Amino acid sequence: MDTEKLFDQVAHLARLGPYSAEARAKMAGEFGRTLDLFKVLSEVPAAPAAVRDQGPTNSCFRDDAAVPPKAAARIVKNFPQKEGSLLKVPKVIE
Amino acid sequence: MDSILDLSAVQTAGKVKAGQLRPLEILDAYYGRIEKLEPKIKAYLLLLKDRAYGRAREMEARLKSGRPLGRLAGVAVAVKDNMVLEDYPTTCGSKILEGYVSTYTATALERLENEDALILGKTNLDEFAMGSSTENSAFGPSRNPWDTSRVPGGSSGGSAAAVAARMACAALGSETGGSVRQPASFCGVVGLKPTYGRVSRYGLVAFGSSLDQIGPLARTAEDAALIFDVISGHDPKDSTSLVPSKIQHPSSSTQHLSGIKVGLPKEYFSVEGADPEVFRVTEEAVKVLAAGGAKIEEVSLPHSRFALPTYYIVAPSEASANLARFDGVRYGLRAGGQAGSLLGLYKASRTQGLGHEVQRRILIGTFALSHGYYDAYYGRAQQARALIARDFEEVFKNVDFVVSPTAPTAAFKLGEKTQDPVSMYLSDIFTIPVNLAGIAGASVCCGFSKDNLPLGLQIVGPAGRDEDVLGLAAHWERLTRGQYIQIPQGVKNG
Repeated sequence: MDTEKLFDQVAHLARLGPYSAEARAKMAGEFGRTLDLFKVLSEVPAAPAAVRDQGPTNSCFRDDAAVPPKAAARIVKNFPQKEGSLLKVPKVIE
Repeated sequence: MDSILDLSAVQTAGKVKAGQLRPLEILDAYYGRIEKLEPKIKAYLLLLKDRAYGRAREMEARLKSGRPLGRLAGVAVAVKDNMVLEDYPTTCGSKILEGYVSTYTATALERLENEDALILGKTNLDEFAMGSSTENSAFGPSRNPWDTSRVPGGSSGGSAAAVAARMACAALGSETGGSVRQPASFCGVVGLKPTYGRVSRYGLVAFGSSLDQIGPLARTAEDAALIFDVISGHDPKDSTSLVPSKIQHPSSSTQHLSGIKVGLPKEYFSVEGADPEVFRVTEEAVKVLAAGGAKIEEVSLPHSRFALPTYYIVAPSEASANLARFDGVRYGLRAGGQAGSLLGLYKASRTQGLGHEVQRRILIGTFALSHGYYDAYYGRAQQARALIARDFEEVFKNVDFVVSPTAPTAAFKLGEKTQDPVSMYLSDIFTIPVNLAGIAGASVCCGFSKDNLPLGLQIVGPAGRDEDVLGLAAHWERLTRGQYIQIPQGVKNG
């Protein structure tokens, strides 16, 4: 697949664009050059390497304990738009 | 220059606690300095004057009533603007977070303030911490106090510039691939990238979650160690936070330099495109360590050549997922006009709100994770990452530390590398392997270029040995009698 076609597909997946012709050419060119940088990874030994140990951490699962909730007023105080304790959002288009 | 600004963090806290220095005087000195230099350096995105003065008055009242103050009493710090502080904006150097006000505070900032540090303001950065110069900030670049025609490094360039120019006593930055150490090197200050998991990422806006760490920038290794000690430690709010009992304590062997083994990775000293002057200054520094009693030997990190491409697959892949939330609906900027559809709204908001470099990295990451390419790119990069980590594990069986230059060049000119992203990426070539391996690394100034620009010595240690890494940096400062802890001439008198 040519780089520009691939670029358009990836841009759609990434929820980016559409770009002007000039911006698209620049971005697609840089995208292609960055992919060139990755070619050396084809020399990485193909045998699977050991899974990396991220180090000793606690389980992210917490005890199922009842805790006081954060006060609603504190949660909503920095919302850009609100009505009482409710977040006001712009209309969804579809 | 005001003598308050000459004090280190350790000295400042000591004087405040002894009642010899008032927190309000400290703020007057620093905000006065910022007022003079900010138009030249552009280190800050937001000043928190009212908040800081309020906290300083509260501290003075506490001091008067005989109640104790914390370990960072009155230490004026700057924090990178990708850490959230409740009730204040967080921009991440991006237009897409326009109007966003934080709803909670990052653990690292909470810990600073629990020990009575005074947060002066939030500093400039490359957008979402993606960059090596601050030139990717949507609000314009910061300047290097040693030469304002040059970059301060990045992405924590605002924090490093503020510390170097005495516009903050110390600062917090964050690293994904060298964003504390590289600007520390360019600005002639000390910077630490802690072992992954030692500092909570709660409240740090995510870029590459398996790589991100918050780290201190300071004038001395002793100051960096104090700040690290305050901000580190287990945090149940971060599931990758290390359990305290498993963290290694400072080794007694680093109390003295004699017998310490320092490895020089041969692959680093043959990197193409590096300035020979950088290697010369590093080799001189190594001679000083050897004269101080350290045993120097050559080591090999054979998979280093894979580090740069590996990083530029792993970090953008994680970024593409982490930044998917910035869609025009949940945060900040929403594209105006008729987007036509929900998909159109997402695309238009992201394309208008995110900068060029961030978009490029999201595209690369999306590509590397996509069907048909995942194994050849992301899968292969993860294999390479494991090999890079294993290289360090092998080397640390024989030596205590690995030492190298922090960056392949001194600070470069503004605009010099903006047209060539790959050349910009190369400025992190010595720092990136440390992030991929999740281990500890620091930068300390070890000399100056012929243009009188600071050059950093990178000290790398095994996972959990952060205190020892800063211990060796402190040894270096003692051996050289602090001769490289300097104020840039151009900003000496404001």
